[in-house]
Amino acid sequence: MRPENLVAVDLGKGSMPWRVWPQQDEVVDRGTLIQFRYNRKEYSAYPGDTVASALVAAGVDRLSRSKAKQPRGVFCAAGHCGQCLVEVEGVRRLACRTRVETGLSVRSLTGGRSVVGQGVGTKPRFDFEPLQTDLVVVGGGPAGLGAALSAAKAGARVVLIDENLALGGHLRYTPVLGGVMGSPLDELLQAVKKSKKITVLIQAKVVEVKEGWQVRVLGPEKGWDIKTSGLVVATGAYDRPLIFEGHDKPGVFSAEGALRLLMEYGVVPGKRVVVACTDAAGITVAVALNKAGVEVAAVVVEGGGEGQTDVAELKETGVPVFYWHAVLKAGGVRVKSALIACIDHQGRAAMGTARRVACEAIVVSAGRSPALELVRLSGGQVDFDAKVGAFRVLDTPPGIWVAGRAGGLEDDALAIDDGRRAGRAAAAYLNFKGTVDEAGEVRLAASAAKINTASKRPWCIKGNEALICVCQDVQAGEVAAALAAGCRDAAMVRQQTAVTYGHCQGRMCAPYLAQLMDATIGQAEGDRPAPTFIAKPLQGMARLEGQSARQSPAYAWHKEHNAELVQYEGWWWPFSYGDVETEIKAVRQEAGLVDLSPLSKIRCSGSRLGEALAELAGAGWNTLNTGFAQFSVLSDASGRALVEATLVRTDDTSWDITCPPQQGGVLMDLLNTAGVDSEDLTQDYAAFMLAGPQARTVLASLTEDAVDNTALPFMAFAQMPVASIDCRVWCLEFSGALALELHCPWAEGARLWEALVASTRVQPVGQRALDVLRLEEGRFSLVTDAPARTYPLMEERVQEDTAGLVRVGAQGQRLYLRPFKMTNLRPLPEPGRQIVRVLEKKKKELIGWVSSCAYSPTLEATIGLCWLPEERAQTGMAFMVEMGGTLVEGRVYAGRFYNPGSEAMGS
Amino acid sequence: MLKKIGRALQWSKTPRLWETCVPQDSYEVVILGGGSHGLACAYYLVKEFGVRSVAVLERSEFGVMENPWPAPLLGLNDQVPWMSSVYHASQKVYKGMKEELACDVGFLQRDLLSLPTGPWESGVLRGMGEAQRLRGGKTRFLTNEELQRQYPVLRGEDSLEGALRQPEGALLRPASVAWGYAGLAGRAGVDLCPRVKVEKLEIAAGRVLGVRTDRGRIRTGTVLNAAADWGLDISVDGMEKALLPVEYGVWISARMPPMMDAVIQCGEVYAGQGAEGMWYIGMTGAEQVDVGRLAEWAGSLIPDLRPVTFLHHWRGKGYRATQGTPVMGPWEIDGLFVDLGWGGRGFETAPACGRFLASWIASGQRPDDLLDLAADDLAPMENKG
Repeated sequence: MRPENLVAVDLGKGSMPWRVWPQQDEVVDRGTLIQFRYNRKEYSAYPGDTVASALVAAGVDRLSRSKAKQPRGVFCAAGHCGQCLVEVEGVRRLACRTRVETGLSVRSLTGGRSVVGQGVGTKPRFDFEPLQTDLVVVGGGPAGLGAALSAAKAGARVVLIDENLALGGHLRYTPVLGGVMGSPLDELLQAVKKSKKITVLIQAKVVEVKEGWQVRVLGPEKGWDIKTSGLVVATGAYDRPLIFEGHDKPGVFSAEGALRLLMEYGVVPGKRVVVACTDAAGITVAVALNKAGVEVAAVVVEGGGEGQTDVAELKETGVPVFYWHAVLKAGGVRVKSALIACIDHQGRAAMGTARRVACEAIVVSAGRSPALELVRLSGGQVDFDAKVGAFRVLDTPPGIWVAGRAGGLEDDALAIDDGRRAGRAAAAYLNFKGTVDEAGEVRLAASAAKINTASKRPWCIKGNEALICVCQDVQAGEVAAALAAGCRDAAMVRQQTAVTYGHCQGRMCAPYLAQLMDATIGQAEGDRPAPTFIAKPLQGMARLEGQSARQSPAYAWHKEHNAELVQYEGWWWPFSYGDVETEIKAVRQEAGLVDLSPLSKIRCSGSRLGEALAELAGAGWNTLNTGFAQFSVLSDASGRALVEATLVRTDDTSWDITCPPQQGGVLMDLLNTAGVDSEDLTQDYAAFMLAGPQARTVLASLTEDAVDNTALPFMAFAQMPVASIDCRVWCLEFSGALALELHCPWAEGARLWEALVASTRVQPVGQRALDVLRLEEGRFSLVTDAPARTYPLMEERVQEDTAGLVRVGAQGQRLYLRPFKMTNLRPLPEPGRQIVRVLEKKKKELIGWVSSCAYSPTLEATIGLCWLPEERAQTGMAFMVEMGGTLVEGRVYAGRFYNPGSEAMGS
Repeated sequence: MLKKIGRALQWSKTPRLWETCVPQDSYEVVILGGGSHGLACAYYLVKEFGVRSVAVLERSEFGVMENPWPAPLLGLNDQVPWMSSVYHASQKVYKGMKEELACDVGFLQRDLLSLPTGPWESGVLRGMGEAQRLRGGKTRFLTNEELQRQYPVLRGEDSLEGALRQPEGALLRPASVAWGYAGLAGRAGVDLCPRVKVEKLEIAAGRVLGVRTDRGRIRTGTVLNAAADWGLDISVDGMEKALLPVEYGVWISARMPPMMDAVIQCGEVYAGQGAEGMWYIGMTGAEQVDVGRLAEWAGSLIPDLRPVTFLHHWRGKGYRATQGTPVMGPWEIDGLFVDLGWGGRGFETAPACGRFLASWIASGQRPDDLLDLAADDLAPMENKG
């Protein structure tokens, strides 16, 4: 079949010395030549090349290095082994998964330079698109294509995902041998293209599978979050490295890697290669390389060549085939030769038979290990089959099917059929067309299929020197030593030796680790297998934007009106709407509107409620009349002030409590400890506050009910429609201003906010202004002024007494929280600045600290709250705040700065 | 070739990590849980307090429940003075552990930057830093400008609120702590019994009489329950009220060039780069580990991390005390001690707590002076003149 001129290729010359004549199905376009840079040198490539294929074609072999700084090059060319890691435009990426573009700048990862801060190549933020489908098929190889097509035929909507640059899997590069015309691939791809039921996501990697089934997919530029009823795992298998001395050197390729490079890009690993194999795939690659004009110096078969059918063809062309031989060593820094010798049935080499074969590359084939990450993530059972030397699926949860090589299928000719079986079974399970029989079929492919016996190589790890983990340079002896030292668990071996901790995440080495452990201690995994994790960039781990913090129903309005939104305590808070002074003025003169929806809203009930509340909040709470409200600080049994709450008695046995979201958890704990049934209604009700002298007027304009002092007295509530939304309106006080708190169902929140804010007298007010307003009244906030945690070991504690908050120390010393006014407007002492007493020799004693401070435009003064010892806490006393070496003076102020009598409340 | 022979010799000489045994019929003290705390306590009981017969019973293998990846000491800035001194005392032990106890826990000194979890906490952190500065300590509060000047990778779009820098911070491997103490305890003569399932405590007349296990009954007068995640299986009344189940997890990046030599902490999330260049981002003591929140936090704080590939993951389960501080000391019944509720961060305090509990168990008295209270680590309120 090969064109006669193929042998005339002048390998080893020109700008792409290892590029052979065009191959039948190659993806590169040889019509144009593009240039890219690698380590500051210009290289040529064809459009369609990957960085890996272009560099191999150019004869570059060292791309990265291992932990022990050993050189590493392309091995699998499929994105599995992690050895071809390079820096592309400042970001670490796999060379075999990155397409070459004109002017692309690539650097090897052999230096210790910084890669950060140099123009990050990927988008700074990912967008995730939600998708919904009946079935997700992962893997676009023959099994995946078969599954997608047969499920789609039965009527299911299918999303077909493949991480490679094109669909087809190993059909793209498995050579059509023996004169078989017409690969099935074109037909399959045509069918997929025609099907209206199939959505294809290419260059997309499934990185997360969650119960229910939710699948997260990452593409190069964006991601998808897919909700699906079923998942077919047709992820194929990883090539296993063949272990001999120097098998980690650049110039050693996996069989599939060499085939990929040849068939897709027309690239060969060298002019003269040695093929070492344990299975038939090695013969296939030897035949293909031979046909492409490469001199196959030797085919070394570790075994008797069972089931290898193409050998005759090889022998005809004069390729020497050695049975019961093994490669013992790869010579040279980059492969220059292979030392081969005869082996016996235990894998022991007869050194007398050793001979050196000169070659430029060694292509190895040692069986495959199924890619089972998704099965593990979905909760399927996987174990290590020591007889075969590979992991296998024991069971999967309902809704997950495994097909093709992932299921242990070895005969590639059966892959499409196996995929179809999985697709039909999935469709039937999802109640599309299909018979019960099919639905009843096992979810696993391999049960009936042929399992690879060639993977069974008990002698594959030859002695202590065998390097089983190429990322971390871990030798078999280290694992053996860890086991001998007493490790009885894979987790312990991993920790002791760092095996599987490298960039391949164990894809290459885990079967060998398992094999060693099984041989030594009779079990492959311990009680605690490492959690499965699929490599992804940090941004691929983030949630959908906006879901990160909870949002008030008015969030959209805030965002639209350019509010300064700050995320804390799991909520987005509007901090200001532009000008804090205007907001403060509005509350003092007209009416301000505050979004309080994040407030914790807790409803409690129970027969012991009254007594419990009396214990928590002091007497008075339990005797509160129905329909009335009260502010209070809740304390635990030791008197520690924990929660500042507003409480409303809604009827005889039930109360509603609101408190800052930071304290919601503590409040629930307190109530639970006191034996009170409580229910968190935080996200059931939106809460907005109208504060200011005109609050009642604004409310009156939006409701037909009476809102005067009789209908809605101070510290009471009423139920009324506001803007035709059913609301509960609480008449309270905020920092010396009348405050009407409106609670309505969460879903109506946005509408209520818009109705309120539309009123001409209303100004939206953010948290910054609220903080100044409460200081103007001299009001403390536990959250800011006493945020100490509630540890019982905390020997000091904050209590509430008649004069405000007092902090009692371990030795009984007391600090009082006092309002203060600074003598000068500037500098403003930030919270946390220490109050000092100057002793002789300029020594300073710390006596207290500032806990809140702000400039009040109403008072035109810098005011705040500070903690001071009793003897210095008297009204009018001066104190010094240390501000980075200088001292500034403040003075204790009596009571409230603003509206000292709160007499206006009743009107 | 010489290198080869050297390596082969090294392997053949690898000392056993520790010797294990099946539990005997009776012990003076039985410790449940072969994690860092249980093993440390066993070691100090034998080594410093002369208790001769001690056994540690572990459900699986020693230390396998502990995080095998480097994790930061986060408690150094704890707002409870006693707690922070426990953390500091432990840090001191870890610092010299390699030399003094011939036990490598992967100690790596790293500044700890505590970021406020909200605007209110900024004041608290500033207060701690200011008090330290005025007392001559090394802890500092850094303003945003200082923070961004010293750590240019912190250039997130969300506004920073300053940070408290604790120079005593460190990264170390929790599993190595447990293993180190297992080795020390084993050599000191403690019976290390893996794969023992403890069924229940035998209690009569308000006293501990023994422990019933799948390997038979063990007589003992004193039991320490330090079995973090299975501690509640053998609890006594009331204990489940004191503990809440929590999860913790860590995600590990590919090796990166050095980007930042400090560990950042913000509430229950942290991020730091280890000696080999890997980034460790993690969440501790959360009801449910939320990788989305963690990733968003780290990505918005350090935008350079967004394209960085994360390769590995580890997660564990434990209990956090409802009251904030772990439950440590005698519990209800004569002879029963507990040490639970560290929420996956017990490794940070194993030396100090192990010693503290060992002294308590050995003497029956709560020790007052076992912990060197670090002089420069007192709350702003306690005046030293």
